[in-house]
Amino acid sequence: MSNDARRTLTERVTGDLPEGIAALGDTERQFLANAIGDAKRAQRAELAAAAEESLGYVPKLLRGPVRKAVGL
Amino acid sequence: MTTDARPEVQRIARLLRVRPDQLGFLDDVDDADLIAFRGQLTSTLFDANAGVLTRLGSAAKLLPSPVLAKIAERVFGPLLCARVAGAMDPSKASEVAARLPVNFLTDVAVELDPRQVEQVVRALPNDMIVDVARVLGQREDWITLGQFVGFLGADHLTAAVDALDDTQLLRTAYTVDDVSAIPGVVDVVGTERLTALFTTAAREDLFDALLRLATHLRDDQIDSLADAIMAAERGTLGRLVTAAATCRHWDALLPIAASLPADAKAGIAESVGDLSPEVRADIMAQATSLGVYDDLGPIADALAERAA
Repeated sequence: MSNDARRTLTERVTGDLPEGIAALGDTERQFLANAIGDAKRAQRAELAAAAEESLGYVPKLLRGPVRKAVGL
Repeated sequence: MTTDARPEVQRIARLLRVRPDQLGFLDDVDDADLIAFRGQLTSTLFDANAGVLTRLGSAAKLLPSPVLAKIAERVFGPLLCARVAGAMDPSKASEVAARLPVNFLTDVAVELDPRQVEQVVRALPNDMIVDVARVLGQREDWITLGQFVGFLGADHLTAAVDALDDTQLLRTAYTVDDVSAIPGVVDVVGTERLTALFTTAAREDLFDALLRLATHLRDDQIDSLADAIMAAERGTLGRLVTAAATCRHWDALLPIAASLPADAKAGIAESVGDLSPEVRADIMAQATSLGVYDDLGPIADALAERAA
């Protein structure tokens, strides 16, 4: 469990963990790892929904090019 | 802000969308490690959706600024706007910002990572910086104010400093992210305002912030600070010495003390008598290390006499 928790948080971020973060207990590191995963997922879902909803405000003539640029 | 969590913990909580009290286990981690970790988190969250953010930035080029402003406010909201801003052309982002209500713009500023929007911030007009700084000050959001200080040019910095009152400026000083920017702040503050800051710090017990600021000054700014203390309200110097003893910021006070007039040094020499021999020995060591021991005059004499 100890190595799993450390690896999970380490895999979530780029680069080596700062010493004080690496020294946290398994539970705390896992909490941070989970929170990062949750924040990523929430951000992804919100961006997708916002991109779709934005089209309603785009002038009709521009909707095609905007849809293509955003990749919708 | 209603939380007592350290500024860095609050910033991390905001990024992770958790409450600061859920991160109580970070209390024993030092600031340098927390700052490094926050940088990792910011990059991770941006990189996680870099593709879609870049595409949204490209799509923004196709739309007029009024349409983008409407979309920003009604659809994206502050958090997503902050992420997309880093992927937009800086001049376009500035045009859009100019069309947003100041409260919304401030909400976006709270969510921004200045490192990712440095060019956008530089493109903003002074009056927008003033408006946002005022709202952040009213909200007592010292963390956000503090994290932008290192990314403002002299004009922006002057405008922001003028927008804040003395208490707000002192509280911001305590949270400045990039301490190398502090001398630039002191440059635009001027001696008269520094005097007012010392007086306010004495009245409101905010010397901790002022001493933190003083720790990062250039050598050529020490005399201005000494002048400002002497021009401040009677009793300010005594309170400053007490604060330095309480929060162990002698490294900030000693260079200033060395630049004070002889009678002021004599006053400080009197007050070091209340300190323990261990503390006096520590102060002597710090003064020597800072290269100001020989300029302390009666303070050095008092320290040597009583530490002996």
